[in-house]
Amino acid sequence: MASSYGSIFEGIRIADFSWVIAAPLATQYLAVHGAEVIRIESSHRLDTLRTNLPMINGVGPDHNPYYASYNMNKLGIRLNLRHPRAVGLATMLIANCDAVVENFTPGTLERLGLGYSKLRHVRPDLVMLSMALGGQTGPESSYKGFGTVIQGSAGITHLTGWPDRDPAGTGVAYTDFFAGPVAASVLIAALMLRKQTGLGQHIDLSQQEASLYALDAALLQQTVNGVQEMRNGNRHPAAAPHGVYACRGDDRWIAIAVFTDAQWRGFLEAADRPAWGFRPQFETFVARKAHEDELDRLVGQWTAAFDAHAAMRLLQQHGVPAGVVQDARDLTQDPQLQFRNHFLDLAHPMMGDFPFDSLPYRMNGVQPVPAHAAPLLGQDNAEIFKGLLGLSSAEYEDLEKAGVIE
Amino acid sequence: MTAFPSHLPLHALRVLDLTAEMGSIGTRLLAGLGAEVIRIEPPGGHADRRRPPFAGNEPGVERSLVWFQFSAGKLGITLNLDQEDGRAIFRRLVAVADVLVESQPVGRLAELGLDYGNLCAIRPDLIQLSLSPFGQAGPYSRFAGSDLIEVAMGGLMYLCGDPDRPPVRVTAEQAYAQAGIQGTVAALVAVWQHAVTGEGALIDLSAEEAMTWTLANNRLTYSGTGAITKRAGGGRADLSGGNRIIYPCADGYVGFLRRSDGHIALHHWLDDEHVETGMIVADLQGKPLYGEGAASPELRARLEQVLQSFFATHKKRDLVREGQRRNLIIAEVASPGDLVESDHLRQRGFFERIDVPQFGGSVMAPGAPFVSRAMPWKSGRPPGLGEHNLFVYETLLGLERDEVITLRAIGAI
Repeated sequence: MASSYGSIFEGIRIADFSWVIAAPLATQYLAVHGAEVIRIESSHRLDTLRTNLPMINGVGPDHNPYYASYNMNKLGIRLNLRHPRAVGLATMLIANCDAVVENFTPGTLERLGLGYSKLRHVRPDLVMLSMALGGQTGPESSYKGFGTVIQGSAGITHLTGWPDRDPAGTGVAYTDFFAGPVAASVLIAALMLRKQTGLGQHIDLSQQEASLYALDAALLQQTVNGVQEMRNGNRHPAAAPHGVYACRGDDRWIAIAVFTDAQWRGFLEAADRPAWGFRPQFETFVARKAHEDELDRLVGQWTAAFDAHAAMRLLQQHGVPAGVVQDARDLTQDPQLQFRNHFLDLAHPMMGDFPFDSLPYRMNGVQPVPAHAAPLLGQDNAEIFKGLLGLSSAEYEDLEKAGVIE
Repeated sequence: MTAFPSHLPLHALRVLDLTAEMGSIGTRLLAGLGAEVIRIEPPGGHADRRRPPFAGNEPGVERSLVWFQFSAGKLGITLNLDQEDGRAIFRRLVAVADVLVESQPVGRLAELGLDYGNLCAIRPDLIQLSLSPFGQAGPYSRFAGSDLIEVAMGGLMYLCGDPDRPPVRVTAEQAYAQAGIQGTVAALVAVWQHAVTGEGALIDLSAEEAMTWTLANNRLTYSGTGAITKRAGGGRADLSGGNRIIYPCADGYVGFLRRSDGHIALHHWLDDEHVETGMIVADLQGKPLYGEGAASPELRARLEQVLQSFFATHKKRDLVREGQRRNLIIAEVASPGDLVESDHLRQRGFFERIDVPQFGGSVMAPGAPFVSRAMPWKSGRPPGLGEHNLFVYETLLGLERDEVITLRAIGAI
């Protein structure tokens, strides 16, 4: 058994036509655990993440930690899918694969001659996962988007922010990070079904629909009660105080969540039993809720004197759920993340050593460490085209000259 | 087209769901993929049953819509792990289960003599997924957690909100959800491994660590350059190049992503709508919006003003339809009402009608997050309190009715 659970999906080969975040994130789980995931890329349609800033140790498509963070342990080839001679080559590759993952605008692969209806005759047990933003069907299936904007159509933006303000949205392409793991599970399940029955399938996963599961009960509240949930800042219907409070320093904050009497007593102890804390308007939850603005102000006055991490430790010592609103630097210094060896220095041929995120779980105490960093553009052309597909050197060079293989 | 026979890939998988506050969306995903998920509740009912909103605004034990969303498609049993007899029953359940998913307070199961080592004595190939705020060990492992805390500690909250207000959480409970959905991936990886090697696994997942995967390139940017990204409001994010994304419009908001290669189409749209951009288009001619040789900040600011007033006077669906027709990246900021009325979701059949005897009727509920003829989503309703006690205890475990009654009488179930 591999020391880091890196060969669990040995024998599974995936043709990964996807790009940007959600779909590559999904296939990365399998790649880290030993599936051979082949990113199929092209200079005609460079993955957006390969052009993002910052670039490390140089400029170019192989200097992007952003791309690298969702493509660890994968292989990479360069194939110009729009070249008329590419479809044969792609089909040959897929015939050697167990699964295809793609997130093109619906219809794109069909137009390229690589639709499921054709591929299932090439490989009847093929699992094809299509992960378009709005799915393969429906009036909005042709819509273009990125997660930064799709979080709006997935209902997340509207419900995030302050009730007296325009919605804030999340500041990241959050739907990618929700649809990605959901898709990974669906893909593994489909491969399991194939193992059990020999059957392939075409899965239409809409990133929007998968992300609707991030909304908890908001949709049911609408359908069952006809009530529209509203964004509510950092408040919680069953907790007070429950919010984010300023600490000493510039833009330093602590999150505090008091749900129980014991936690409230713990807060009062941590705060050195302030007189205000024992007034009737803070004695019960109901009373605290009724005076929540004042409560938040008073809690904030207390936290303002503290360094955020010191306040967290003090509150936690008294059994109060509290946590620093950590920025990127805090994360790299976080002793718990260090304990878990969270930041993995992977050696990247162009970027050098760079700290990537570890998957968030340990199996039997062992961390799933990728064997290698993300592929350079076209890094595995020879291995795949000549090695796996058996092209001769002459054929390979001919296709390169013709611009089919880049 | 020939119909594929329908199968549920996890139909032979039995999952004990001992989640507390976090992770139950993950076990719902397992149920949807076909697993038999048995939600274990204390005899008085899981705490989720107390959470509003309630169907019809009636706070009954069967009426929580949060409980519904988390428990649809699962079986439900009651079991008291604080009692010796309850723990004995739990051990018997483990003997016939494949996977245990739990998010109990760190250390609780060990105190009860139900830690993984003990359970392996009963079921050597057990797969146990343990979800916790920070992990099962380490300096923060015994911290009191809550979703707000893990969203804050994991770095996402710092990036969200308006600059003149505190950072704000993302809606609902994203740390709990991320622990759940990433945990489900890990569980399925272990199930796959088990099919190959026969081995079980103890999976220790940290919600804080799971949240570090939601930061896009913000932590990477710090590691690469030392720059710390801050919340910027207006939905601004890494892929928006610092530009505002969220725009008020006549009946709500839209999200619009400016891309250098899209601004010609944008200007043509504004022109076609007779918006005063003449000067701007002329000045911008040939220049990209940002990057090398870009238009001046003053010009960009004027364009921004024009855009804001254009959006403000149009309805969101019209803007999205027309903008998309012109290949621009624009989407509605959908409210729950918008989603429920969405033609797109309706035509895709996303919402399903589910019979809910507990409500005395049926509801339209979120349905499958994917569509596949060969692998249909397993829908369902949430279980009533103790609804499957007899099925699980008598049929699965082989207890006699008298035994079940005794366990009930002493409060073990």
